Amino acid sequence: MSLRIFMSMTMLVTLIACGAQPSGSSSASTTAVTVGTLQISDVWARSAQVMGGQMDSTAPTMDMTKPTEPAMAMEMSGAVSGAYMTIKNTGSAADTLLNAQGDIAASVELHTMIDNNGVMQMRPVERIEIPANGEVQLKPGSFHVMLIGLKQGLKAGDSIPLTLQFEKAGTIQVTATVRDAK
Amino acid sequence: MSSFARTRFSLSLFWLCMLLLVSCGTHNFHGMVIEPPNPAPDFTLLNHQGQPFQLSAQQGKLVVMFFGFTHCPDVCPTTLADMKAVRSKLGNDAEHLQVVFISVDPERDTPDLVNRYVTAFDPTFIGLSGPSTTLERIYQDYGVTAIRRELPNSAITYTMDHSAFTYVIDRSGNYRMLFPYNTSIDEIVSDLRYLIQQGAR
Repeated sequence: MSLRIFMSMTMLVTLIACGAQPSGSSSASTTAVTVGTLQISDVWARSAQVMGGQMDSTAPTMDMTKPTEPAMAMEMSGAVSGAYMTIKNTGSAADTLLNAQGDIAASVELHTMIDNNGVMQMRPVERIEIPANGEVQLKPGSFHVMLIGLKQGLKAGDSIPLTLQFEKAGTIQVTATVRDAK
Repeated sequence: MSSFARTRFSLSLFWLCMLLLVSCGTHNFHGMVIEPPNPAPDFTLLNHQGQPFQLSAQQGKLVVMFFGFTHCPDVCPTTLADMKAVRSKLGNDAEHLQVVFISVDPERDTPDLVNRYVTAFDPTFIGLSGPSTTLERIYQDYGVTAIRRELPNSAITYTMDHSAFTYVIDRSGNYRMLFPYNTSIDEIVSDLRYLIQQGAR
């Protein structure tokens, strides 16, 4: 009996140890969140520095000592990063990611990247459809959650709570683990 | 030496030379090679300390150059992270490599900001920005697309559509090749190592 417990413990530890080392320098937790027919896994965000001096995404009056400085524009929209994940839909009906929210940034938007003959075009999208019995990967060079105007730098290992709003599954809370790209 | 032995000796010498030639001349490039290589279009931009950075003054180093902007969510950080990995895989050869990042968004990217952005990845990287007239000439010379797109429904206000090639200027200052976005790190390392060692002769 106790041998069996010991063996299952060992197996569990081994499993955990395997899962904890996906690739590179990340220490990502790859816990999947399942709500209804949606399974969200491998949620991560890219590490980023907040580089501007002041961070204020709304006030254009913050520093008028050099009002024509180009950095003004930067400080107004702030540092950016992207969050990524895999969304699997095991149901027989499609669902749609409508928006994402998080306190980490002044704005959180759904974006995509289009590679137009080597010209990279980033565009906001209104929704991301998760097909029935299918999955969508939010990944570099494709769909991503854009974090605009970071309120703090993102270091590898940090956890960022995000709230995803789906048309059918409703609200799903996930935690993105910060990784150094890539 | 009999004439037979002499023939055999010169034959083996011939084959040895052929073998050497073949092994020297056949680096299989993974990136796109510019034929014939021409002197890279020169430019000067002031760095974050107000010091001039002149491309032609980098001769002796292999310069790897690409274009992006600090508001870029993933193409630019991915390329910078790739270049960091390339440098570490090059080992000792990396001392002959200079990575240069040039902004396509001078309105938001000051020289100081770009410098901080790229050195966060690797302290040896150089990040440059400057007056749009100077930058536009560089884009033209290297065939870089940089188009401003207004994004009225986004907090980012506007984005820059930009080409994501990586340009390689060899150690003699010639524009030698370019890598499309998504070329693997190992392929880049293989080509750069060849060019670094070739330039060292």
